[in-house]
Amino acid sequence: MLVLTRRKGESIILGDDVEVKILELHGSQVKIGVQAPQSLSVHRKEVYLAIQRENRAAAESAEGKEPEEPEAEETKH
Amino acid sequence: MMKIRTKKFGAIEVNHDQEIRFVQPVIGFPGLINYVLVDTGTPVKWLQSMDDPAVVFPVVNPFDVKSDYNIEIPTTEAAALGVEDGADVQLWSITVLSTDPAEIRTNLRAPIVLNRRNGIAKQVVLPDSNLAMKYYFVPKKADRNKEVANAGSHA
Repeated sequence: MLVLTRRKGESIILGDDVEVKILELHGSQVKIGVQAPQSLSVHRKEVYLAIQRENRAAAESAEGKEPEEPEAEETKH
Repeated sequence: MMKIRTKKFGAIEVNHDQEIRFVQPVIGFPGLINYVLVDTGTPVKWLQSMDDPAVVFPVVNPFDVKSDYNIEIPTTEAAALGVEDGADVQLWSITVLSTDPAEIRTNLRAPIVLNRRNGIAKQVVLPDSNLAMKYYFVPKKADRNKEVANAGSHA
């Protein structure tokens, strides 16, 4: 993994057309601006992973497999 | 008509107008972009991959599950699907089936948005984090769906 130090207002460029900018800092929270082509989807990782899990559970359930879902996962904060 | 091979339904014949092409693969199923919507006459329809006979998703009309389902599709997403008229848009939410009714749920946060006019679709992750990724058909407790809606939206 590449690790870079950036200040507020500074950016990194990924490839030719993706810019990730540090907009604001509040304690342990960072506000990030992402400028990317429409064809590139940008997701919060936990949301992406949750959707991926549900999609897989759905596909498995179509084969008659029962959903196995660790109950702790949904209530985690 | 063309014949396709599926694991669940065997060989089936589909009309070209049933074909759906994804601008991006369904999340977690890379490389699969050609699907067909199979209607077996039940409220649950089947989004069957034409690229992988083993991949099929149960889908429902989210408005059948939640009558006050109310969403706004971001303009960039609608544009990516070539939507010109909102009336052409059809929504399908991916559903987890189970023999235990309490486990049956659907994803209202990331529906399949289909432009019926051109057959182009995408699983769109809606910005509204109050929409449940696990919307249970039979709530165990009155507020179960609300709890689920809030999980995973702590951003």
